[in-house]
This record gives sequence, C-alpha cells and structure tokens, in this order.
Amino acid sequence: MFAERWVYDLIIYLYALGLLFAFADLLHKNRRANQLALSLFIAVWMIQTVFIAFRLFELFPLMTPFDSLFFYSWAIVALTLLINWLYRMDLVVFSANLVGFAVLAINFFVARDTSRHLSRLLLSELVFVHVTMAFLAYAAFSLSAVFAILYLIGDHLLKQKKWNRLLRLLPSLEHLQRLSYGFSLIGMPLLLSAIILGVIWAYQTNIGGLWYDPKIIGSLIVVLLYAILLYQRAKQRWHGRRLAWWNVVSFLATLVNYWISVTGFSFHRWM
Amino acid sequence: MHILVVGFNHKTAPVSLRERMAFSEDEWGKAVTRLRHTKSILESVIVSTCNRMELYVICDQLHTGEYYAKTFLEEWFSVPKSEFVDHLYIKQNDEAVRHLFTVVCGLDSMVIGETQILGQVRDAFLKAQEHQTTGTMFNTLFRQAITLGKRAHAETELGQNAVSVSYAAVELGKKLFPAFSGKTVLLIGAGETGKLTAKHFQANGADRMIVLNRTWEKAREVAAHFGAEARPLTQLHQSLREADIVVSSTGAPGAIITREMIKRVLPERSSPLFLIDIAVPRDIEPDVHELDNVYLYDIDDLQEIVAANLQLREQEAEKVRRMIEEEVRDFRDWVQTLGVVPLITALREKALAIQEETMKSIERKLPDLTERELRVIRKHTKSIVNQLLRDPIMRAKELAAGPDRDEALEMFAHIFALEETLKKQQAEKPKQAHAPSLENVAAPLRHPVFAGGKVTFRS
Repeated sequence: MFAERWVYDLIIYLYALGLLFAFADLLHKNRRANQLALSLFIAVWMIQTVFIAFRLFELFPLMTPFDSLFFYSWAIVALTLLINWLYRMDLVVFSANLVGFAVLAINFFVARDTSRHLSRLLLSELVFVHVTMAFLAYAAFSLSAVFAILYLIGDHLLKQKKWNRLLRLLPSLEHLQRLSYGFSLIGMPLLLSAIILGVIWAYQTNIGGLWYDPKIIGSLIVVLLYAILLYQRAKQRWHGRRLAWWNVVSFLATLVNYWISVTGFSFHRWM
Repeated sequence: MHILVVGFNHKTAPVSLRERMAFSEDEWGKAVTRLRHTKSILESVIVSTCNRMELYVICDQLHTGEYYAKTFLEEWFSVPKSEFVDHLYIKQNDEAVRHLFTVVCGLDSMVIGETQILGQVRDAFLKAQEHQTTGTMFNTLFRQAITLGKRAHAETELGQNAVSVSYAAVELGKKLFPAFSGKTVLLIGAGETGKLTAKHFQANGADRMIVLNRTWEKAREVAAHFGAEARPLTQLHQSLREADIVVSSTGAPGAIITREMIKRVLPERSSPLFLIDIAVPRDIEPDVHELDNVYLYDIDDLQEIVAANLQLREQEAEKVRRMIEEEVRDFRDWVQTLGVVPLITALREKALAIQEETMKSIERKLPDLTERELRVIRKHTKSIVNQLLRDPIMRAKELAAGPDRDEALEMFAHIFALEETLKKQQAEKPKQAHAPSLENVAAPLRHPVFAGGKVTFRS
C-alpha cells in the first residue's frame, strides 16, 4: 500500500511538472522546456504502464473506478504522445494532458477507492474487455472533444480577427476538424463493442430490467449522438462550428453517462 | 590586436552610394584578399549585400586599421573618401563583436528578424576562409555569430511572423489548412499585391491555380506566368466551387462576390473557404465573413496583422539582445584566455626541461637501469610534473579572465621565473608576418609584449 501511494505521488508530481514545462513552452517558446515536458510525459506514461502491468498480475484492473480512471489517464497520455509524434501540436498535447491530469488528480486525492470487495461476478474476462473498451472509447471521445473545443476557439479568433499568441499556437482548423472526426470515428466502434459485450454479460448473469437501466439508456444516447455526428459529417451536411458544437454536446452526454455509474443510479455502480 | 568594423547600411547610406560601393560577386575574392594584405590588417571578411557593405578586420592598431580600411575602400571603388566617410560607421572591439551578432540575428536589417542576412554572413565567412583571409580570431568569432544567429531564430519567434501583407495572407491560410498542397487558389484580377499573394501560396505548396479576369487576354497572360488555368470572369460561380483560397484584387467599382454566391457553394464543401480581398473598393461583400466555415480578410485586416507581428518581433528582439550580450561576454572571455597561452606553454616547457635534465642525471648515476625501468621512471616523473602544474595552469586561466589580468600574469611569470623562456619563445617565432596562417595571425595574441624591460600582457 505504501509503495502504491509512493507511485501515485511520483506520477502526480512528474505529470504536474511536465504540464508546467509545457505551459512555459506555450507562453515563451523554449525548446528545452518542450523537450523536458515531453520527457516527463513519457516518464509518466512508462510508470503508468508498469503500474498497470503489475495490477494486471495482482487482479484484473479496471474493476474499480480508481483503476478505470487510471487507465483513462494512461490512454490520454499515450494518445497525445502519439499525436505529438505524428504532428507537432504543443497546444493539443498541453490541453489534452490537462484533462488527463485533472482526472488523475481527482482520482488520487478524492476517489482513492482501492476497495478489494469486488464482486465475484465482475471477475470475468468479458467484463474486463467491456470496461477496457468503454474507457478507451471515453479517451478517444475526450480527445475528439479537445480538438472540437480548440476548433471553436480557433474559429472564434479568426472570426473576430484576433491575431494573437493563442491563435498562432493553434493548429489549422481543417486539421483540428479532421482529428476531431477521426477520434470520434475511433471511439464509436469501441463504445459499441463495449455495449454489446456488456449486454452479453448482463444476459449471462441474468440481471433484470436491463433495458430500463439509466446507464444503458445513457450509453445508447451517447451512441446515438455520436452516430448522428458521424453520419452528418460523412454525408457532408455538417461541418465547421456546427459539427464542433455537436461534438462538445456529445462529450457532455458521455460525462453524464459516466456520472450515472459513479452515483449508483444504475446496477453499474462500482464495487 | 583589435577587431574593427568599417561599413555602412541602409540606415546610414543612400542607395545611390550603396550601389556604387557594392562588391560584385566576381571581384569579391580579390577584394577580400587585397584587404587582408593591406598594411596593419591581419584578418578580413567582407559582407556585401544590397542593404549593407561592411569590412570586418583584425588589425594591430585601431587608428591605422581604420585608416587603411578607408583607404582600401577609396582605392577599390575609386570613390573619394570625402564622398563616403560621413556615411560610415566604425565599431571597435566589443562594439564590433556586438554589431556582428546584431547583424546575423537580423536586428540591424530593414525588416527586423529577417533570416537572409544570416546566410549572407555565413557565405561571406566561408568564402573568406577559402581565400585564407581569416585566422584564429575570425574563425571563432564568425562561427559563434552564425551559431547565435541560428539559436536566436530557433529559440525565439523573431523571424516567424509575417511582416508583409502577402505573407500575412499565407500565414492566415496556415491557420485554416494544414498544408496548401491539394488546395486550389482562385486569383481574380491582376493587381500586383494579389499576384504576389497568389505567388506565395504557390511557393508554399498550392498546386492548382485558376485565374479570372475581366479581360481574357490579361487572364491568359497572368495564368501563363503562374502555370495556371485562365477563365473568363463569367465562370466565377463555377470557379468558386472549386476554390479553397480566393485572392481578389480587381478594379471593379463594387462587390463582385456576394453573400448569396458564397452561400450557394457552401453545401458542396466541407473544408474552410478562405477569401482575401485586397481590392479597394472591396470585391467581396463583408458579411460573407459571418457564414460558417468562411473567412474573409481585407487589406486593412492584413495590415493589422502585419503591425501586430512587427510589434511581436520587437518584443522578441529584446530577448535576442540579451542573448547577444551574453555572447559578447563569452567572446571577450575567450579572447582574454588566449593571452595566457604563451605563459602556460613557457611553464610546461620549463618544467619538462627540468624533468628531462633529471632523467639524464639518473641515467648517468645509475647506468645499469634497463630500458623498461627508465621508461617507468620517465613516466612517473612526468606524472609528478603534470600533477604539480595542473593547479597553477588552472589559476593562470582564471587570472587571465580577471580584471587585473596584466599585473596578475606578470606576477605569475615572475614567481615561476618564466621571463627567459618567454623571451626565447618570442625570439624563436617568426616576426609577425603578413602570411595569413592561423599561427601568425594568432601570434600577437599569444605573445607578451616586452616594454621597457618588463613583461606585459595585452590582447
């Protein structure tokens, strides 16, 4: 337990330091600060990976909200590092990691729930895959929303003709739109698969009233919202601001959907 | 040994003088070599661009260096001194170093932060090296300057923001599109700024261009210039459908692109539409900007961006000026440590001579020693010498960078009784020659100057 706390604190400090350097680089362009920030993010990601690997041997991770949010934060760091490797986007890396850090910090300091009273029923591979996919989908939707919000900021600045440092830091609107769409496209099949696996598991374990459960209804609404977004984009009916706003709304629905399982309105409540 | 800059730039000399006193590319090599062989001058580099002409020289005395540099200009260009001396600036030592650093960073340029000058100074230096007109001082100074220039541009935003209307349009375009390849530029009209803007988009990767003009002949002429497709103005609607970037600069009395026209083309596209209206009166209805995914910028908007960028460059220039001051200090420290080299050499020579004498004495007194035993003794006695000298050498270098360096180094030479060795060194070295070898050029720096029977150190 002591070792775990030590690892949590180390991750938080490294992550905070990384964000600090990333922010310093955004304010005053500095290659050394940028490299330090990236190195710290890589260090955070590696410690998280090792930690998840150890938890995997200990018991199936993602069984507690703590594990799941830890995994979510890991996915955010991994994806932003990948994005930064493919296209250099300092502002995106900073914004997305700010979300990842906030989730991790709240998780460590507020919801440090490491209860071992896991239901025997939950200890099945099916649930493991179901929860993993759901959180990967959440990570993809989070990044998609980050891109959409940055799009809206960029659009606002360009419309207001405000040529400032923030606008200069932003990637192009077309790029933001493309990446936002791309991450929605990745998140959608992940969430769908998670739902299908979850339903199969629920039927196997004879959970009644499945289709009236707020979490199931919430998840279906999220799927519907993202389905509309993807369809309208694919048909080229929506673009620009409209698409970005819809993305933000869909992500808010995702947050509400997550909140349902935290509050215990659903059979989905964490053990 | 002094560093001197004699020259003028766009701020101090009119273009009529600059064009008369510009070094042609063909004659440049001959000029820099002749300058190097001018009396009193030991190293030379000439920087000659359309906005500046500067002679960088290392000279043994400032006033003679300045005099001969001016004479060289007078003779080379056959322009009487009286016609150009008032336009010249003379920078000496630290000020000259600071000036070179300021020039390479683009802070002395017409457009602050421009990067072209860095390449021009680098080329001038490399060519001077080829002509063997540089030595220890300029090899170090110019390399440091070029590294600083690169660092200034890499670590600050000095040269990153557009300072012309046409570049500002391209920079704005980069906020809409990640790249211009695959994008279609529609150029309407044949205004000069419009053509220049379109040219910049093309240079930045736009691979398709359509040219529309009221006069068909003019459209074809401009299109041929860009390798673009010419169309009559009647095909405006069709062309708008295909365009990603529209640059309009016609002489039309009113708007030729209306909100309705743009609204009609919008459903067919998903990527942003960028409209640049450089015409006065304007060619595009301003409320087009309100449409989703459409961005309209007119000449005033672009000029505001240019003004903001210039202000930003000024802010960044402050950071670069701080970097320059640090580099000037570093170079000064380096020059000061150069003066201590003969002293260290003398100390080492003296110590090794003692060691060698001792070895000979051992060999005489112990003739039965084997080769191997002698080798071991030689190695260990040398080790004693080196270990004993390590600290004094380090201290001597520190003294060389201190405020009372001349007195301190004199005392150092006195304590170790190095005067004789130094005198011998001085006598052995050939007298400061005009041959541009590194050794000869650096010689005055590395040799103490004997005055009135006393040893003094000057750099």
